[in-house]
Amino acid sequence: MSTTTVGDLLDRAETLARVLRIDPAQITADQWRSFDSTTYHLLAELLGPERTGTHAEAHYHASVTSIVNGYPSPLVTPGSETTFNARQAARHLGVKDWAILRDIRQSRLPATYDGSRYSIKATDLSCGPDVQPADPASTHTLDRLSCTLGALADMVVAERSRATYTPGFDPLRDDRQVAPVMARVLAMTLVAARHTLVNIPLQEADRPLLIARYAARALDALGDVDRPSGLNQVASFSPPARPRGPNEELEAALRGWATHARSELARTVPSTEVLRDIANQARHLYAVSTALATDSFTAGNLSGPNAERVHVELRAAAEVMHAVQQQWETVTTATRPSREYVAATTALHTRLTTIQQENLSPGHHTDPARRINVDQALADLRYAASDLVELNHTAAQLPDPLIRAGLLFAPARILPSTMERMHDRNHGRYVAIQLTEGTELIDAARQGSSAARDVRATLENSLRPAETTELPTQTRAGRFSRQDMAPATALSGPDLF
Amino acid sequence: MTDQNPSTHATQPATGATTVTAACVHIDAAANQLEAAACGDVFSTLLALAGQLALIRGGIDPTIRAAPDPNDHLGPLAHVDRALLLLDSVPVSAGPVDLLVWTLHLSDLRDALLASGAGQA
Repeated sequence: MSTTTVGDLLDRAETLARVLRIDPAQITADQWRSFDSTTYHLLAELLGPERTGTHAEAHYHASVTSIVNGYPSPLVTPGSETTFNARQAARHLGVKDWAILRDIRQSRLPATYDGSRYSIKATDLSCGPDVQPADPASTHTLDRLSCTLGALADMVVAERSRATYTPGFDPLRDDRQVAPVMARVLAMTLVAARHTLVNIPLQEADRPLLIARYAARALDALGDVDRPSGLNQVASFSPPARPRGPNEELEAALRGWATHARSELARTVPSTEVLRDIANQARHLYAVSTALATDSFTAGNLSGPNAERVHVELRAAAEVMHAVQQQWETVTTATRPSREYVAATTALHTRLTTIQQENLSPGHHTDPARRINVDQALADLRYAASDLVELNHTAAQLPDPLIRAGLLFAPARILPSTMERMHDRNHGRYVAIQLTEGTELIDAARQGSSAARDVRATLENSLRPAETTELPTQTRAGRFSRQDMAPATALSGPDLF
Repeated sequence: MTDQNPSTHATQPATGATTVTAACVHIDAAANQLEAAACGDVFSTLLALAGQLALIRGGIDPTIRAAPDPNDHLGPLAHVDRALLLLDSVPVSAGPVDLLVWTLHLSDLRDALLASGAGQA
């Protein structure tokens, strides 16, 4: 399975940081600058934009912001959306406040003034010479660490820019979830900077020393933070471009479908055919998950009570999804589904049906090479259950605004008869439905969203323990194979979503 | 936007737009029959096939639905065959520009329908 989580990348980076301590290889100034800029980029992305919240949240965010803003003269600017006030810009460039004000007044630095303070785009601050990212093909441990942290930053950016989100799971907007990840990054930064100090030419040692001091201070400022974080669960997927075998084919089909379903839901007026199909695929996915759980029980990998629980709860959720599908069937936005979505959903349908027919039918003999690895397939379906939470949550938000906008239509014959609709009814026409006529659809969509959450919880609780029982017998370092520790070329461009 | 009865168009000669409409009605009728044949079993593979058919119909024209027809004696496979026949008879200059793609999807689904043994449901 080509799925990577934030937690996986952090573990990998920490292992590389340990290897770095005993790596005698010299470090060039360019290699250090790549690491330095990547670390700052990651910290700035973890911090994210300013946000509102309770007093306690705002206070905590201010302290985390102060830690990131204290990074000494960053070599790169943060994302294009970031803005600074004059003092922050001065700190960012490592100059005095008056130097920034002078540049603004002399029109050398673009800025806007809102009556109380200047706002300067981060991208307008020049940060000295260009810094190249670390070479992903390099075998140098520091380069590999830089690439891993760079991939982590890419994941954070992708997670922030999602068109849909999972209710109750938004760790990037919760500083208490971000802080543990930040602390781990700062700890790695301190180790890397200390190591670089003794392996870099003396005339280049000032910068690593500065960063080592900063990382130590920042770690202290963060205080004691618990290691677990919801952010560790954020996943990125890189399904094989040319899948081989039933498991890779399933993974590629699931990822392709989830990606296109998100795109469809982000359309201004989504297709009700797609909304209906999402419920249909949810039902189908729950059916296959149940069958695979039963197979896992037969093989002795899943306990009887857990298999029973999966069966009962997923069947109940499938019934809810079927009701959702039937409700969407009664209305239309007159928007056609995209051909890409239809191709993706057809591929998923074919894959799921093949699994049901070839692998799970009693008495059906499959070529061992084509036989699916049930536990791996269940892991993929568990991620798909998370996708369904997100998709159904987004879908449940749609009926109300679509009805209010007069964009949801139904055949006049199935709607309450009124004088205005008499003509439309006689001619078999569609009319825009009223909010009161959409209550069943709204309720069904909400129930679908709730059922998807229940399924995810059921699968997490019933299937995850079987996997994690193996972990205590493995050492932390032992969890990384030789292949895991190979140069991070594959991490440079994952298909994140 | 209209919703239609499947028996009204299946065998009648028609122009491009009405032929496409008739084909959509047949596809929707096939989907409805498969759904009914699942007999309320939400884990039935017939429901997945029905969903796929409805999606293809929506791809061709999302505003066409088959009204229930008590005199409909065709099975799902026959409805799909008629739909394919109608789609293939649409003049090349008429209908949606991507009609060929949807026809291909429907043709693939016909094979799946046949393989599942659900054609006569």
